[in-house]
Amino acid sequence: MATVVPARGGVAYRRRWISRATIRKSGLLGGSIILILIVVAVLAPLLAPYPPNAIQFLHTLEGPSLAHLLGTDYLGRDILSRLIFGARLSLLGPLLVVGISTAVGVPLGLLGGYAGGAVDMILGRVYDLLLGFPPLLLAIAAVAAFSPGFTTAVLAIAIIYVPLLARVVRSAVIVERNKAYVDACKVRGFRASRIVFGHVLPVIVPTIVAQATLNFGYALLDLAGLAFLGLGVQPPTADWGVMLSEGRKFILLAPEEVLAASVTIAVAVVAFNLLGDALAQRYSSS
Amino acid sequence: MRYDAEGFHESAVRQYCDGRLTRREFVVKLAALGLGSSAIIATLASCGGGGNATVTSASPAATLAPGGGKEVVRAVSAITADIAGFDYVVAYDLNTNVPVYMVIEGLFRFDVNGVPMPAMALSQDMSDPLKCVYKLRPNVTFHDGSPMTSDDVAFSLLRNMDPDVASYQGLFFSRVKSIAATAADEVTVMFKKPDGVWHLVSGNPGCTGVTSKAWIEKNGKKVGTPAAGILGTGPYKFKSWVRGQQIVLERFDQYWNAANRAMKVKEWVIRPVVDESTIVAALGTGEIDHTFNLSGTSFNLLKAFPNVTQYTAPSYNVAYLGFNCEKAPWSDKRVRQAFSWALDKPGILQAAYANFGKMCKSPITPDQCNFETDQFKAAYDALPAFAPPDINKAKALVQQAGATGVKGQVLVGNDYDVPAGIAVQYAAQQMGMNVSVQRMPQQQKFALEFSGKPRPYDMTITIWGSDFADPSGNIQNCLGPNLILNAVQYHNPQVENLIGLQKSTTNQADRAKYIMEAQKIIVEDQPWVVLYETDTLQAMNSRLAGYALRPLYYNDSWGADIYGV
Amino acid sequence: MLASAMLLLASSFVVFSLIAIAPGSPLQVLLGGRKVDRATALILEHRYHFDKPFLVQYGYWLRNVVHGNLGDSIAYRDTVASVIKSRVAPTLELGLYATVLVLVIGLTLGVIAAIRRGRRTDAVASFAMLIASSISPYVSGILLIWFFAVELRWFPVFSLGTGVSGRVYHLTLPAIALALGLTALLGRVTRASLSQALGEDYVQTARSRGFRERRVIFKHAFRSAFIPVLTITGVIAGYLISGAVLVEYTFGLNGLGSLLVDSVQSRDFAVVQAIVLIFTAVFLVINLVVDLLYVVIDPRTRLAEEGS
Repeated sequence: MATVVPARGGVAYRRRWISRATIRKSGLLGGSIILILIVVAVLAPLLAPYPPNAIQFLHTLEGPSLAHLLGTDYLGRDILSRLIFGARLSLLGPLLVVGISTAVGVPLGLLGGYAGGAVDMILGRVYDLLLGFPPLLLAIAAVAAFSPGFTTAVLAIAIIYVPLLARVVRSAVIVERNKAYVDACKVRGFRASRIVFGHVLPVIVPTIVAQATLNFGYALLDLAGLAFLGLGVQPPTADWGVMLSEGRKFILLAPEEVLAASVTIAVAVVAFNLLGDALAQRYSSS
Repeated sequence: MRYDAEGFHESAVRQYCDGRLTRREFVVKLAALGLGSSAIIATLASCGGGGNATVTSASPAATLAPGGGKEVVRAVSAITADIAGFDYVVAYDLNTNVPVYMVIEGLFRFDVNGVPMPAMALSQDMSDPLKCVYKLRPNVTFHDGSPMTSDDVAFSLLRNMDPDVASYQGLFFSRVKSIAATAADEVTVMFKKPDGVWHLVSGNPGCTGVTSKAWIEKNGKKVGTPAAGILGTGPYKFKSWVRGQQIVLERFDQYWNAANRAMKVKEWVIRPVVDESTIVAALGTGEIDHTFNLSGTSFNLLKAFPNVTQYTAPSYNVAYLGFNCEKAPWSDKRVRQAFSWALDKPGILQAAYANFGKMCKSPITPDQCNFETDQFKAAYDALPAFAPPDINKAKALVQQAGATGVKGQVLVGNDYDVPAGIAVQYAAQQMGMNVSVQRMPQQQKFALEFSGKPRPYDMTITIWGSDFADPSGNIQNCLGPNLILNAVQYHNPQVENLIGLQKSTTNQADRAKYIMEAQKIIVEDQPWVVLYETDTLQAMNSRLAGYALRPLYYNDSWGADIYGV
Repeated sequence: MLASAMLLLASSFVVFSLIAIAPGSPLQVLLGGRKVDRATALILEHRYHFDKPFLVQYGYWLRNVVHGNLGDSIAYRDTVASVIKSRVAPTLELGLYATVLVLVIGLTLGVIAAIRRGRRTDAVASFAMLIASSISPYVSGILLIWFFAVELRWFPVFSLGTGVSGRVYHLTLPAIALALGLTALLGRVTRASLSQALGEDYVQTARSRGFRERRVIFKHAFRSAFIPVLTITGVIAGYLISGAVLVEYTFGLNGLGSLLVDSVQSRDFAVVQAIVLIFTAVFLVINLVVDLLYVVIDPRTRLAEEGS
């Protein structure tokens, strides 16, 4: 939900702790973490020591041991294995959310920003409607209407994210459309669609990418929230949000599940933010 | 240590230090305390009870030792949702009932064993099977001082049958023809057909709750809302209700039975707290003193708190896996029996309810059978013995039925049903079937299960309990001819015939026979694979003691028996 | 004004439709598991207009609202106004408290990070904000309870408390849980926009004129940096009021958020509609306030309305 504000100039100080190099390096760190998570998700069956749904009623809520590095949950399932398999849906979900909201939001933003006038105003009102909606309500109502599950949750969150992306794109387009090169294109008689998609879009792609990357982290948290309320991914599917919700009850007896899931989510969100910040910095100074 | 400035338990020491007690008064108080405590401890020690070593199931004596028990200014009990309304006609769930039946009393009141004892009525005469004549208790006043009359009783009963009132207890009255006050101290109920359990309906305060006719008519639309609450005869009166925050009940010192109840808590505050983890934490810090509404796994967490005492008692509730008996392959009883062989029921009890319960062979829990007990025990023992899971046998049954490779869905609602659902999925996998768990909010699930229309689901996990201590409670509506309540669409003509027979006779020996026969067939058919029987649970701050926990606590004025220690 | 009314209308219609599509009639949900005979069921259906087509039901509701009648709650058998009355205050108070926390902490961190941009303080502040934004509120809620309420006994576990000081005391942990992630958001936006403003020419001019650094920052740079900060604060305030469900559940606050979730699940049409109306109205009011503040802070926006 952060809007990207391009950093300009910067104040000249004698020594910078966070140099541009630091941001770039932390971006690389973020990117590597994400890569690792993706690899883990893809190779889950090979990496996980146990099947994620293997119930063992005799070994419930056990602490970390050699057999179970992170312990077991309330049904005796290995927490580490569930964490590894959970990466699949937990990463896929935000990916779909960002993908859908970008695919819908970018064209809308381009349209509104470039066309201006009545079209822009109407779109603006629609964004107000969506943003004014209590974020969880749409998801809850959608889930009540169409049974709870991964797809419903993803679609509901994606719809909520559309205006966020559309507004950012719109602002960027407004800035660009007053620039000289756009006038040059117009003078040469290019159609509007060619100008927008051929010339303006490539310029603002970095902004979009940076914003989308940041949205990823928020989508992860929102989807986990829905899973927690029982409205998203359903048990017994392994998913970090489901693990948060299942483990939360036993925080007094066996906090391993909640801690493991929280830390993993936090690491993923931080990684995406670092990457997003680095991308924002790299492309906005050009 | 308490946080609320309002009403904390004042110790005698504090009072003395503040100068509010003279030395002599202080010493007397200490002595009384010492004597009272010893009396209580002695009484407690003499009543043993079953249950876990670390958990108390001891029932204190029905009457408190004179002078025993300390006055408690204010105590807080937690429920898990705000109430539906403060009126007995809508009080039919584990949350609403908790405060309402402190204020409203029925004609009879169930004792610890579920046997109805005289309350507003002194007797019920059903020598004529088509009639029930109540003799009413004299000299009972409502909370506003007005006397209770037979007109009030008749009016209160009739409210349940009034379509405009739309009472949730309406169906209990399906065989009632008329109700009238036939004398100053007498009310007569006439039936269309004999009702085998009416003597128990009398003990249900939702059905026979007594309120003042004049008061109801005067308050019209305000009845049951925070504006007025309801007027009753119970040990506590409605004081206030702020929606979503708290309900305050004030002790009614002119209660007709005050001499036989503790009546030591001046004010009960009932607070809705949705999250069980929060209730657990608040019990630990002392912000909540009491609750009935924790599920097993949360209840289990309380053992970490030295200032909380856990109480258990049997219940009439069973958790079961229900099959849609009109949908293939679940209509084949071999498939259902297969699940019974494949599931690790003790494991499920452990995971779902932290072992606060026991194994049960039948939908009818042994504790529900409090008449013809020998016969029922023999019948129960004659049922197939409980055996550990046998996957091979289960697989063979599935193959015989030709159901290998079948896909299905099992519905779960509450949190504590989820482990059972997952276990079902796992067992199905081992038997070569592909079952997925479908979770939905509990209310939505109820709507689906009790719609009365052809059911779309394959299987469902539910906990169901009888409303009275009668073995028919768990089978009569759910496994019988009632299309709305029979969520598993199980229709066995023999069983339905037996259910009809037991319902229509008031001869309890005959009823027992019919019910036991029905039980035998049902256990063979397995429309419900019974997973476990739950325990009734109560958690209380160690500064309080008293209420003898029982399965029907939710139909009782529990708070009147609680006192300070 | 018209736009706002249209917005309210559209919101309510969307919500109404979604609930109407949902399987299971509200009556079934309400009565599920309880034994009610056919005659009673029919009466209830008629009373709440369930037997009428969808648009007609919506029409009834709309007509009532225009006359100031929010309708009746099916689940609670009382007027909607009575049902939501006691829940409005907790929600607004919590939202306000959390907004104040977000503003105070977020602005402080953001300003520090911007002024000390590139130095160690910035790194620490930015990192703190990063971590804060990646903790889920439901986890932070239960962790706060266990640590500060149960273990340390510094705060109560739940409920609203009485009196002003009691209310503030009880709402502290929930407000922190709610505010955590959004503090980071505000901090980052503040940092980005303030550091950008600090690099502008007019700031350099002010410096070269010999103004003290503090005056430069707070009087000059702040002015233009404040626009994006104000925008995001508006969004945050709206979110805090309507998105507090999980915190409400955890801390036993029973405000509008939890009522909304429960009512959606029990298909209590009128209650859901009323709450959505309230949230949308609050959102509009916040937008209005933000727009007014734009003009106050930076008169230039009156002229160049490029939308923010």
